[in-house]
Amino acid sequence: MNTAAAELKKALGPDKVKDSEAVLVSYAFDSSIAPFSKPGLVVLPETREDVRRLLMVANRGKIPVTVMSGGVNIGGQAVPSPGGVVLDFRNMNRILEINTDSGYAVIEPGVTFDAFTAALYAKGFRCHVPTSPGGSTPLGNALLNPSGNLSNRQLDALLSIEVVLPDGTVVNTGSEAFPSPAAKSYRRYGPFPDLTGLFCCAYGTLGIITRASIRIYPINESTRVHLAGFNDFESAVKFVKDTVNNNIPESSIIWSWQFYKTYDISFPSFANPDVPKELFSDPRKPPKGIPYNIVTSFLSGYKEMTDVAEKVCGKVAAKYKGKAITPEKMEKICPGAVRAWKDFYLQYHHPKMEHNKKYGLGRYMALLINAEPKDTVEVEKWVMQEMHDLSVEPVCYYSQPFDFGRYMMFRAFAYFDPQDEKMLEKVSGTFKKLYDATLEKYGATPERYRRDPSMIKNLGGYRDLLVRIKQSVDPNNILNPNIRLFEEV
Amino acid sequence: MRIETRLEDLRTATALCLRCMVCTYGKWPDNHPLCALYEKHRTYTGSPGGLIYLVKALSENWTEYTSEIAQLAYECTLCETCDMCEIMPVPPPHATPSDLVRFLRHLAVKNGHAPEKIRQLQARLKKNGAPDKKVGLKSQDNAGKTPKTVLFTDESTRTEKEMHKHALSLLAKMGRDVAMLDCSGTASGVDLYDLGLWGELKQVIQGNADKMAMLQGKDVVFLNPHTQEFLTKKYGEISSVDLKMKTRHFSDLVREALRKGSLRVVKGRKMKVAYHDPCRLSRGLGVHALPRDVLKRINVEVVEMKRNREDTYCCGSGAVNPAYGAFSKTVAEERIKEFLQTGADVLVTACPHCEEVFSRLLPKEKGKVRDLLDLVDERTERAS
Repeated sequence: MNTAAAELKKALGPDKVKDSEAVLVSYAFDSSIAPFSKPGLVVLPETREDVRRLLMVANRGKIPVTVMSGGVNIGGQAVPSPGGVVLDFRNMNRILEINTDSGYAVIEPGVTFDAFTAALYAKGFRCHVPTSPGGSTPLGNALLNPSGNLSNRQLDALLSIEVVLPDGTVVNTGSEAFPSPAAKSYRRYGPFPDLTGLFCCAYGTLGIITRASIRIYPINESTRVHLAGFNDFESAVKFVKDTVNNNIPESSIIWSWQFYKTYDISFPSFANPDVPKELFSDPRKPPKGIPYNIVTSFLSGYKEMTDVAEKVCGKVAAKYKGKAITPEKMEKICPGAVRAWKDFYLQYHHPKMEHNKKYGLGRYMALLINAEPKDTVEVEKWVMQEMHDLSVEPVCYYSQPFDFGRYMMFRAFAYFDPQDEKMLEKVSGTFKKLYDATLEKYGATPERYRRDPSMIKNLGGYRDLLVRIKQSVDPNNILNPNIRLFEEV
Repeated sequence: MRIETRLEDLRTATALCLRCMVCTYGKWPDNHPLCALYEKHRTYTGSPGGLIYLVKALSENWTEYTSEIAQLAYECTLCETCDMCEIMPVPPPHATPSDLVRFLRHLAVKNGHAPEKIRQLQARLKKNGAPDKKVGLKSQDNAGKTPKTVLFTDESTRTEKEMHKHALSLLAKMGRDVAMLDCSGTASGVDLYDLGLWGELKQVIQGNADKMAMLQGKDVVFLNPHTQEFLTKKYGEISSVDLKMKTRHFSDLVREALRKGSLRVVKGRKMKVAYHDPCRLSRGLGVHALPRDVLKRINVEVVEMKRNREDTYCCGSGAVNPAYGAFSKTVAEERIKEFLQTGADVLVTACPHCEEVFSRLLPKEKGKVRDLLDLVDERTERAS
């Protein structure tokens, strides 16, 4: 590593290569349960050439490399291998192009959501915004098949990408692969296999992405959020399926009542946070006047269309025994949610402080499951019971349709004392049981890799092919081995 | 944060940082970079989040305290940009990111890693003892009644003395009966708290108990936002004494007088000013509309710097932090550049530390630096 460090300092300059104790220690862990793992070097590239040089040096020396674009990773996927290299992209953060004709933007990995959404907003455009903080990155997020404010229709955020492999080979995918002085980034698929997809959900194990083209959308003449309250999750799911099948909302999210009530956490003074008491009550029984679920349906288009869409949402809500909620009523139910959803939906950016507040409730662990709509209804009941039994209130969850409602993502959070190792074990155990049991019973699949090699071990031919690809592109296994995705390679 | 806080007490709070970096920049969509430390280092380590993780690593015994950590902690200008993060405080003990920086400084002092200039200051304090001026509440009313309003002053620098002079002049013009509590030197304890000299702070708090008791239930007016913020927000937690005082900045008295007509504006020369929001006044105390209102009422044209109000940028002074003069100068020059872009003639501020550093570094041919009270004093007279 000393040789590699010296070589890299010489090639990239000492400002981009750090190996002091304080730096290494601060990059050794995050807020996940991933154990402390101190790297040997932190490299902050600013160009693709920096990345190529780093990878070639690391490949020669068989030194593991872990990449972080923003580092906001609750799954521990940016925690390095002991003695390895952290490749921190924060200073490679340019927005290279915003193409408002075609509808894409080309960005570097270190571009944050806050910077990106601000640049798009200034041009009358928007992008998919997830529920992660604004300092997270569109590229890092898009690579994880994320949930967010546009998940229903927009199948994938990524179009074409530029990837550097461990041997220094640069690969462009999609329409960018075709050599031309006018090469453009508008297309992902065809006429050859979808290589962009290979790097999605690969957690940095198959190549390092140095540039990406992301889908963007115009801000339409009229945008609004329809709110509908339901007393049970099944009705909310039926409402979502019905409206999605009839092409009404651009996007929908079903919020649990304890989730949206966390937006009402406030800080009259730092010493006295005001946390609504009902957040610690039985999550299955909301107080009177608080809907068990609220569905936010994002409507956009010409005003005439959104007027009609809003009326139809009200009609469909009533069909499933729900009720449309006016903005005035919502101010009484949860004023914090009104503020948060205004930023998220109507100003297309992450609601900075409104959303972050709940992370102060404790260590956050998430359960993320995908299933068909009717199965998701059963999953919700199961999860609510299990989490109530764990006493990890508040039980926050949200659920949303993907791919025009073909499946629903269900995501539930537990918050508990980060020092409570016993609770950590209980929650982890419960979540694993739920993943296994829902897979068995409903064919429900996990949304994300959880640093647990057993998740991929039994996937038969799927895994075998991935392993062969891994062996081909990264024979020395230097790319993010710490997450153990290819542990037996 | 209580000064008895130990490393292990902070394990829960430091476990929650998401590394989202929102502690380093301002409101959307401008997203102005606001953390001077992060702008210098451009690594996670050199950011409030990085410092939080260093506290976490120390509390879990993954590393030892080193001079490198001390350097980072003392380079921070304590502008409190990072306190906009609302993740830290929910589980007790409540600790804001800037309090964690102060805690790291306290550890530096405890472990002998404090920078040389801080150690020299500490030695001077040990030699001179805690300030022990025998003062009482001085009333302007010789009838022996102590007014409910108290002007708290802790003038130890030239700029503070000047501010005090203009404050007295304005009080006379307003015909306002205000008692004085003079706590010159480090008497309030704010500088000791900020610099991590918590052993000395404890002595000051104990020694000052009688003086501070005089403020119980009073309407206390401040000239120095650092002191005001400290006594309003931190003193109760550190001393376990709730002073139950109402606090406000002097500009509030001035605006009141201008509104009611007890201060009359005189015709002055045309002036274009840019107002620099002191960090402790705008971010710490939420006071940014008031000074602007005052400036408009005295008929000066106010132009805004790019980073203003809660999204103000540090002046570089770090209050009285003598540790890293070169970095302090860099930060101040960055802010001065912003001022020069406005085309204003005068840089106005309402904090003695901001005034001191700008006066020292703004080239005289490029503009003047004026304190808000100085300007108001010049452009007002007693109403007949």
